[in-house]
Amino acid sequence: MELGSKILKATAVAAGLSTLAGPVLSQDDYPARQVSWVIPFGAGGGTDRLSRLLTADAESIVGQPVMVENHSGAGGTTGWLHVLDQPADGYTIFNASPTPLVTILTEENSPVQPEDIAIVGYIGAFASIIVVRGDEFPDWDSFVAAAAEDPITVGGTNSTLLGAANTLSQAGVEVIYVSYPSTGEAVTDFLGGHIDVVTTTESTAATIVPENGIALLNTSSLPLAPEIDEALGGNIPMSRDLGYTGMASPRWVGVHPDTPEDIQADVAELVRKLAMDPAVREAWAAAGEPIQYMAMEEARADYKALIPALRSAVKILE
Amino acid sequence: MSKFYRSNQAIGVYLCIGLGLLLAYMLSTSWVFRETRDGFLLGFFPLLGVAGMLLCSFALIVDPLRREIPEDLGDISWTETGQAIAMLIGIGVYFAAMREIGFLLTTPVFLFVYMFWFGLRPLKRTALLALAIPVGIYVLFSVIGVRLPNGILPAFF
Amino acid sequence: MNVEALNEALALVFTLETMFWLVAGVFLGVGLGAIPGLTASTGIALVLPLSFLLDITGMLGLLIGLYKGAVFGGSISAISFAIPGSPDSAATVYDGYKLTKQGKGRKAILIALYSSVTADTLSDIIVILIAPTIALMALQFGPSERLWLMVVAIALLGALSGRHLAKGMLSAGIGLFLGTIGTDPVSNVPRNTFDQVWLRDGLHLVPLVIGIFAMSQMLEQGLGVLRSSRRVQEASGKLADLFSKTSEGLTFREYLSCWREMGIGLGVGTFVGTLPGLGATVAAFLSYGIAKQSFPEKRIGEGSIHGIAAAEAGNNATVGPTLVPLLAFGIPGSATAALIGAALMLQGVTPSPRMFTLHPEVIYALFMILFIGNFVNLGIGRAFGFLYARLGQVSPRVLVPTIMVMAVIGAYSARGDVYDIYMMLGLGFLGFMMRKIGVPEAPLIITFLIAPMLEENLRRALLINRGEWTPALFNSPLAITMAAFAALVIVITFRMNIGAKLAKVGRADAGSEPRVK
Repeated sequence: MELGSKILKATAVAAGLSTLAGPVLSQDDYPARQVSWVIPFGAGGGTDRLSRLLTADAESIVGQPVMVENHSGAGGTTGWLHVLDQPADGYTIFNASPTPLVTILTEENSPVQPEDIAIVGYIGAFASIIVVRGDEFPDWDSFVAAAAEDPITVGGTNSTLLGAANTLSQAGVEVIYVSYPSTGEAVTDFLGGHIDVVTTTESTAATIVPENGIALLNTSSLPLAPEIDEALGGNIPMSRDLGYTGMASPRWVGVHPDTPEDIQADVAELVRKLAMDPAVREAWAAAGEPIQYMAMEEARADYKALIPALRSAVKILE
Repeated sequence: MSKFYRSNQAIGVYLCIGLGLLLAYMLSTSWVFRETRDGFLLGFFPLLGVAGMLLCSFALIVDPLRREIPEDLGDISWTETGQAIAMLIGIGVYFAAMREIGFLLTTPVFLFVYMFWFGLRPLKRTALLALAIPVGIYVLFSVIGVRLPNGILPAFF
Repeated sequence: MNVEALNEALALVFTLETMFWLVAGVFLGVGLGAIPGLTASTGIALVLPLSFLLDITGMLGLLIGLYKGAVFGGSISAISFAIPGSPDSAATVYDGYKLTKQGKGRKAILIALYSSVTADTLSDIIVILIAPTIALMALQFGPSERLWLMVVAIALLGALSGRHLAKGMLSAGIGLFLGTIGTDPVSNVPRNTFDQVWLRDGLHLVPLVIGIFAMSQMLEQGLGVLRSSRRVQEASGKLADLFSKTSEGLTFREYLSCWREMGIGLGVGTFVGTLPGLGATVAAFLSYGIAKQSFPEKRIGEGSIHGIAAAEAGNNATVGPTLVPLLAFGIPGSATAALIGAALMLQGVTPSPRMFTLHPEVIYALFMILFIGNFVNLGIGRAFGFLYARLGQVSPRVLVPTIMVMAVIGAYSARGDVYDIYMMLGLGFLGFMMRKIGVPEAPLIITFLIAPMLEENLRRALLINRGEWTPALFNSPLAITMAAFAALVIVITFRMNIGAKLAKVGRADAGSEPRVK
């Protein structure tokens, strides 16, 4: 990945930063050799792009190269199964989104269970933002009142709909969920007035707001990055503010569940170093998705809460 | 009589039997009758496909072209069908081996066997091509940035 | 028009560096497009890391050049070896390969190139002139309207089903069935997966097309070699004619005679390209189907340059318009547009309506590159087409195993999913059997692509209209117009097809007509 390191350097220079090589210090010698960074999606997708930006300069950050490996297929479970097939030594790291979780929660005889992973951290999370036309629903209360009279149509991709369904069902708001295979089609139908509401990630929401709509609610469990909150109009209410539990779509990182505790901690440290590197952060921000790092303990707690929330949201959409 | 087995009518009969079995299998599964939240049965659209195929297969039995023998079917033998399947299995084995041992080690073997099978002679030429083509493909793909499985060999690029 | 920005854009575009990357992009694109399994979006994903190192116009030159080149490049292998380089050139196989077998491969490649470039250039001009208007029109297309568009596409199947309607429809049925494998679009639960988790993502288009078109063809050619059939040698002998000076080229008159097909391709491609989610493959088959339906006297499908012109004009005309939703709303209409959008974002230019005011010079530069790219494509495509087709001179004893290897790598590198290969091989056998019993492949590909979209849009329209069928189907004047158009197409298809077919059958029964394939 020599090219990759050039990219990061170029990005860093462009931003007027110098690449800070992280200290290669650790109690033990982890990582002593190349680390595999497995993602369950093909080359060219969002996760792939961000992973490559994250790991491009790993050799100078953590002392060993980190190679992205694509193991796509079966709704994300192929990559997961691959990780479970590898030795539990911390040299195979799994980075995914909620997609494989949704697959295994809807599969009757799933070969993998949500517990078959030891979470070592989150490197990002996308929110599901409820975007509405400002003249129709100026605020949350008017939205709830309108939904009580006549069902409102809410469009989005499966992952953003799940986030919205989690909060709306807690609020007792009945809406009609309309699934789309891609964000583009959902937003087009929203702009064309075919659906009342669209749920999108924060970066897509920023392309709709303010000209064509307002951000009504952030249904994530995590707050938005300040610059994104600003771009969406500032002070976007969160599910928590209304008394509900939000749900984030994390870009979670984990290792084989049988990995010894101390090695899990080493991997968590490696992920933290990558996620905290200024050049990496700059590159992610430029790609429209700033790094939102969450350390191991906190991420484990969130993941634990995510599974039941996701399970019930999946049921709503079935 | 032997001609009948190759006619459109006979093909229609084979297809109807096969599709009937598929239909029976599908109807025996539970997911087909599960209702989704918009009221459609989960199996509605797949069954529509099967029904369409069945209808067309039935049409083959009765329509005006039923006695005709498809042009390409007239001269095919079981040996040839077997050869086609053997070719596919060979490719499958080649792919499985390629993922384990690597592109550069398995492809020459595959090419040599197939070229030999297809009657490329003299052997020296077959061997030379079987070596040169994989190297060419490997270089081409490396230049455009696709990593072919290296297997047990170290990466060259 | 902002003159200052225009000057700035001119200064950015007309540099040695930008031109170099544009040429490099087209060169790579034609080459990648001609390799089965490597499509425009795979190609763009591959060079994306490189593009970050370039300045913004260099990057646009590389990516747009690659895109244009790849969409044309697919036709080269479709014409020379009956193997579509990418799914969008599958419709080119019918006429293209037949022309090659007749020793007119050179003519076929030239018409593919000229119609691609013509339609691409004109659609770019349309994009430049009326991008905002087109985008607004696309907004009128909600689920109900799109639904009827799919019905029109399916109605055109009749034209693609060949002589025996039942077999054409059987093929369509197979496509419909295969398209339902995977995940239910509304409830998100597994459907028709035979309890196999690896089928959760459904069948992927690239292994499907490689299997059905390329692998089945290679099996047949392999058997032909084993049998030392004359036919294979004949075809490869004819390929050699591409380079002899005496081989038939394309006259200007012939090029002009295709103006109607190119017009159809331009209209269909521009329109389909603007709508998110449809893409070049649908455009190519639609345009081919319409042309075949409209001009039965041109014998499209039997080795006619008009068929190639319609298909190739159709797919290339989508290139510029795919960028319209990206530029007008910041919404990518296709995977390729999404990657171009990502590249723009990494350069600090977020595609959105505000882009026209914030970065007018980038918009102008983009338009210029779109336009100039066509001429680069013309030059490189011509050279490359003949160079690549030279491979056809190689003995099939060498070529068939080599293409088998390429098919395996192509299907594998598209997604890196191991099961894709085994699916590709299985579908190769299905394609082989279909060929043997005279079932055409085109309806399968069309329903495989369109039926799931039709289903999604129908169910979406029903959800939006609370399960009421009448408003779901006819909720706007546009939907009613589209429905009427669909009905018209069906009526025309049936009258022309059934009539012609019954007549043919009658004659065939009387034994007076030789069998035509």
